Amino acid sequence: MFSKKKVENEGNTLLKTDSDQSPSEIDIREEAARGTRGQAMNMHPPKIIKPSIVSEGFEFIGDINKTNGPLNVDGTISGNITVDSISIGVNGVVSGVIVARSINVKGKLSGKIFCTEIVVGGLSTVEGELTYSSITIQRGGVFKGDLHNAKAGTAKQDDGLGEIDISQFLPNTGQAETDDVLPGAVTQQDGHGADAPDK
Amino acid sequence: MAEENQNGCLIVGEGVVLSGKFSVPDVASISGKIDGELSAREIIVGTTGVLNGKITADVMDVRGEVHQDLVSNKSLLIRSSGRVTGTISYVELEIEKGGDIHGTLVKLENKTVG
Repeated sequence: MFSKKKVENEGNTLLKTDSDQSPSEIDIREEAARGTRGQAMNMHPPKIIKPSIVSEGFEFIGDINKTNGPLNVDGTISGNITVDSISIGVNGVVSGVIVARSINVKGKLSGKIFCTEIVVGGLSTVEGELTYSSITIQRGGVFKGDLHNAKAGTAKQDDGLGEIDISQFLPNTGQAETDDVLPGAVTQQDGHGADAPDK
Repeated sequence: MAEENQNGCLIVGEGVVLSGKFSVPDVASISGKIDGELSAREIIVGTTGVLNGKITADVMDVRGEVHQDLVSNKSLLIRSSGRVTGTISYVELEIEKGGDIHGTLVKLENKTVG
């Protein structure tokens, strides 16, 4: 590889002018492809976010926080994981507290799981406590443990799991901080109006 | 359910309410409501079917509701309109998207699944 480059640099100085032009062209093309040029950005807000990949043979212990974009796991992860969507491959093993909008399991998943949508593949194993809105278990998929439907609402309240609101992991729900309403504003109603009609 | 041989079958139509203990040697097709104990080789719960109590079957196909205790010794299929709550023991499980399941799932060791 290096030798090739050398030859190019030495011999083809003329080509330099071409290569100087090309980056700008590429930039334009890339921008167009991403839709990030000017107003286009507002028109097409969702972009394809590249997945984060934990490949086979990689073992990770710790917390993961990734509020957008997928996480693909073929290795081993244990810890608290908060992601938009997680996909666990055939060789993937994930354990811990998992909060995600969408989960796709082909390997092994265990722990305390909160999600809007989960698909448990035919050869996969899920263990632990799962709170979900929508579940699909393909034939042969194994689930051991407790299942709660978040839609039912009861699960959240009864189990005290309400602190974790799954809906916050839905896309397009920005982390808008709740506007604190001034307490005084509501209580500022005065009773003066009642006096006026008396006169 | 258009089986010609209906020996050992139980068919509960919509609107029918039964309570008690039922032992069905072959297929139980439930579109009505049953409270109590039901065991069969195969149980098919229709969209309007509601089962309450201890339900045991080899093969189960749920489009309606099953509550409390469910044991499936072979395969359990919960359709998108199905609602299952309680303790669910199964050997092989399939849930269609939209199926609603709430409770504790126990995987039984498969003895006779080939």
